[in-house]
Amino acid sequence: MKRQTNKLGVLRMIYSSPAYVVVNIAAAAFYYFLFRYLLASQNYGIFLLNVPHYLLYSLVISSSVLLTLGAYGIKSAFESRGKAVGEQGASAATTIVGAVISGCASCQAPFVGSLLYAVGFNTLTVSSILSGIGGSQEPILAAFIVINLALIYYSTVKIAEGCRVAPRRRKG
Amino acid sequence: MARKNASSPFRSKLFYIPLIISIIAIILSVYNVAHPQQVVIYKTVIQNQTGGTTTQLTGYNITSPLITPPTSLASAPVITANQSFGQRLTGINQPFNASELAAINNAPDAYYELAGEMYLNHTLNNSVGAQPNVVPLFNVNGKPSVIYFGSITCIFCGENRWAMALALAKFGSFNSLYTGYSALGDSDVPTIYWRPASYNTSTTDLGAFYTSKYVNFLAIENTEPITGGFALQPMSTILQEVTAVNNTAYTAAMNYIIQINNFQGTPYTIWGNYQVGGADAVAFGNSTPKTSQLPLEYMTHQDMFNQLRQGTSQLALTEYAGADVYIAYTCKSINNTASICSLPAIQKIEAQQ
Repeated sequence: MKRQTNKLGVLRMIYSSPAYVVVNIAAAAFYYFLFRYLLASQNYGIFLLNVPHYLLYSLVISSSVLLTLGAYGIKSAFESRGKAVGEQGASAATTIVGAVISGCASCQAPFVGSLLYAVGFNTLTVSSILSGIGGSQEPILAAFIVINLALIYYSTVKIAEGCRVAPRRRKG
Repeated sequence: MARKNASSPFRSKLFYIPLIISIIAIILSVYNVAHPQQVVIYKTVIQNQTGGTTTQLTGYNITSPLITPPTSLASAPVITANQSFGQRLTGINQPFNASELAAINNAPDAYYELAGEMYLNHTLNNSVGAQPNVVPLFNVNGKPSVIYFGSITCIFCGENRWAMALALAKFGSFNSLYTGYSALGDSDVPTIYWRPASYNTSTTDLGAFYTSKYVNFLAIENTEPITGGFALQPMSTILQEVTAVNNTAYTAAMNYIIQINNFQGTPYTIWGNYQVGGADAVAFGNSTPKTSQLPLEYMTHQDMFNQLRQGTSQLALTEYAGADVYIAYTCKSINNTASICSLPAIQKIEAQQ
């Protein structure tokens, strides 16, 4: 119970700073437009979303929170000369791969298709993979959101641990 | 204590796995930007396919009847209820009446010429063009073939069938066409069906009511429930379904697509010697939509027929220009023996190839 309070406290502490709120908003905007760009580039320039909008927004928001935690972790590490805490890399990955997966579910999937041919798959295999992705894109996006949430939890734990350790270092 | 936690194997794995995924994702993004194969461009480029199995392709010379499809399906009846846009299947599988059919079969050459010139001088608002691959002819009964592989649920197949029909009508005529839509979950755009579609079931519909002295038209249409979103069965399943029909030409056509080995989605077409991946025009309105709200989605079939008959809107001219590109591919494949091939715009588009 005490650990939970600490984790929530970490989030409160981070988002009480206007700078991190701005980082979060900027990250959300960036990820949203990145998603739009990748999806449109696979659909002749048209933003055709074949998944419910709430999945897109959930993915973007969770990715931006993860990036914000990562930014805080990097800043804290820089200040205390410790190791960086955060999974900012994953936030980009889930958004980018999420956009690619969403593009896969429209009629054309040049992004994934080109890559699969490039690594040596033939038409039968490529069509099976595209069909599989297209048929399960909502669960895949939901899984990415869960991954983001898990990494947010993990990052918060690490930041909370860092907060507890930091005063001891200063004493030493 | 903190340093021990930070350097534990568990922490390292959890840190590096997403990092690696990120790097792969960024590489994929860069690859996509560097190879914008499906971003339609304003020029027509013929690429000789290299590598893979394409260079080993040989042409087909088949003697086989083509498929005469049913004129109606008990399992997929015409829907007569007047439904609202976004949930609209009004008239689905309804045969075109004489006036509607004439809008396709008897479209004036002048519209093709005007649209072709606009395509060539880049005055169309919408993107038109393709990057075809050169493939050997697929001859059936002594004539080259146009092969279409698509899905009734697919939005780009939906918008592209208008241009396809306008192109094919210049080499022959359709005895029947049918009212169609893309899937409700894939923008519900009004379109043409080549034959009554099995819009309630997952299967593959074959055939069209088309006659021509220049080319054959082989239509392979995967179907999924139209009330869902876009879906496409794996090619292996579709091949089984086509093979089960036991028609030599269609089975060979499906195998030919597999042999070409570049399928990345629907629509997938072959126009004589030219294979085109995707639609050859982006025609969802008078300009490329900036949002997911597509003007075409809010048009009835009658709206579309009216625009095609008038031949003045950017949407209609985009469809005619898309048809011009397909016509040019076909003309070049049949040595310009059809009268449409003598249109100046068609000859100029051919000259670009």
